[in-house]
Amino acid sequence: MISGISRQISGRLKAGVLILFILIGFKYILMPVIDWQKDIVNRAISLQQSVDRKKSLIGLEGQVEKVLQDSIILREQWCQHFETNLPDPQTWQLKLQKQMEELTQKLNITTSNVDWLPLVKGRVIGAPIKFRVKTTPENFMKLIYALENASHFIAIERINISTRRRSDTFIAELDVSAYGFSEALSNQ
Amino acid sequence: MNLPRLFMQWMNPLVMYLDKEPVSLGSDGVIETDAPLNRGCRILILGKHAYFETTAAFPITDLKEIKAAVTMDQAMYAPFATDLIFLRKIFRKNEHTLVNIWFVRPSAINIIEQLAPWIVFPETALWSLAEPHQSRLHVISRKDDLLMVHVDDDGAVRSSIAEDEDTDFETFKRSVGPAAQNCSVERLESTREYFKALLSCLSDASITDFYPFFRWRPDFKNFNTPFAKLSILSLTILIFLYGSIWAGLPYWKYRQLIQENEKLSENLGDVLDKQAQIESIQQEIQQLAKPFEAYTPKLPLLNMLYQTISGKATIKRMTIAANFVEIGGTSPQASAVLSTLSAVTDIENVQLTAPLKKDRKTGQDIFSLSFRVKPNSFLEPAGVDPTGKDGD
Repeated sequence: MISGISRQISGRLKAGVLILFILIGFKYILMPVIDWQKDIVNRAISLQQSVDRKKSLIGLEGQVEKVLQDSIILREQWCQHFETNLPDPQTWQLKLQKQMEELTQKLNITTSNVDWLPLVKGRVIGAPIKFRVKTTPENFMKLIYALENASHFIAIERINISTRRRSDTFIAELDVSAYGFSEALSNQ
Repeated sequence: MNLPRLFMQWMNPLVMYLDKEPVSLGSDGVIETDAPLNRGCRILILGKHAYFETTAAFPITDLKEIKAAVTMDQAMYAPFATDLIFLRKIFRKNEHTLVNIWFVRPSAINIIEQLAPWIVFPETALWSLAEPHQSRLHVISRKDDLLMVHVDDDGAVRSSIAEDEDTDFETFKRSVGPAAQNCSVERLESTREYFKALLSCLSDASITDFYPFFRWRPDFKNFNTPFAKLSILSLTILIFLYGSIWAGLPYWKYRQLIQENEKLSENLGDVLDKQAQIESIQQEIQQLAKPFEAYTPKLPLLNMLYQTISGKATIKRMTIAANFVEIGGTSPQASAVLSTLSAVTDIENVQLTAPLKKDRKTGQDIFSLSFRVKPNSFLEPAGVDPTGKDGD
């Protein structure tokens, strides 16, 4: 029966069906196989690199341990510049505000206004505050020196100074940030 | 790169000429007497004695239909019946198609079957392939006879063989008609020269010119089924082998690497953990260093401004934001302030941000300028403590 039907179908139709099957085979068999092979090759290249890297570590156990210890020490040194393990950044802002008030009081600088600015988020969180002071140039320089040489890293992000005629003092606006991190915050 | 020419150069070594007897032609037109005739012929040029040539007009356009009509009614066009006919369309005009027809003699067909060439060209057909198509006469003096060929403006060919040029040439011209009377005449004086010219015509022909004379057809009558099955099986095995190597080899290598990687991970577990810790710490340090790298120390910057501008200007207002500094103030000579600041190596883009004005009371310049601190500048220690003791 099938051979009878086959005889009834014209040559052109047969050729068309054959081309159709070839195209379908190309799209749904050959192309996926080619993609699979490319994927395997890429994975093999990546694995080869991983194996090479691991092989290069054989016999270097002592050196790796030393580099780890050095890295831990270096990280601790960096961490000393930052506030760590405080419950929230607002606490850092409060601490920075108190530190500023203490400094300005010590240097006879009048603080007229303090604002808390929005947090700068990331792995390291910036807690900025803005304060407005009235001071002499000498005391202002002492304030800057004290901030830039504080035990923790404090960044003076912006300074805006304006003077008045026939006055020994000027008004300065400072945006100051304390930086810190804690595991709890960085996981948020 | 001329592909037809390359193709013909490849074909040329296997060109044969069949007039009464088949001969092999060398690339320079010389008859190769010592060449074996059964070495495999690709192009066979038929001599005038091997065919009968004519032109005819038909009221149909399809060349297949014309060929069928000619085959059915051969007696009308040729003095003998044959199984091998070549047709070439010359032009179509007023619903009539003019064709050149070549009837191959039965005696030549037997030889053609034996030689099994891919392409069979009647020799006079080759002359019509040469460009440009313009009415011309070729008179070729060969060893035993004289061949006269006329090609008209459309590429239609008429030819005749003669023994004496003096009488037969004029007769041939008259038989062709007015087109042959005033056309150019090209003469070839030797058989070798003639064969060389034929091979040159072959080389200059385009692939499409060969189509009417292409003779190779699949021979289903003598189809060797076992051989075809064996070929298909061999091809399938080859494709399968190639596919296996192409896909299997990377997969085998991939599996091998997975095992090796797992084994290395087991043996180096502790070291790998430590290395991962090192990478993590290094990334953490990079994060911690970012605010430091972006920060421009302000105390050295203010010190620089104090040392540079002091005595030359009075600063009335100043804004420092990141590494951008804007200053407004008065000075006896603002240009001096500008040039002094421009000379400082750690800053760049020093420029006035507003036109200079004069203070009416003091006569000083009122200026407004800005500049940028270069990246990683003023990173050295801040210098002398302005308080005279350690700041806290």
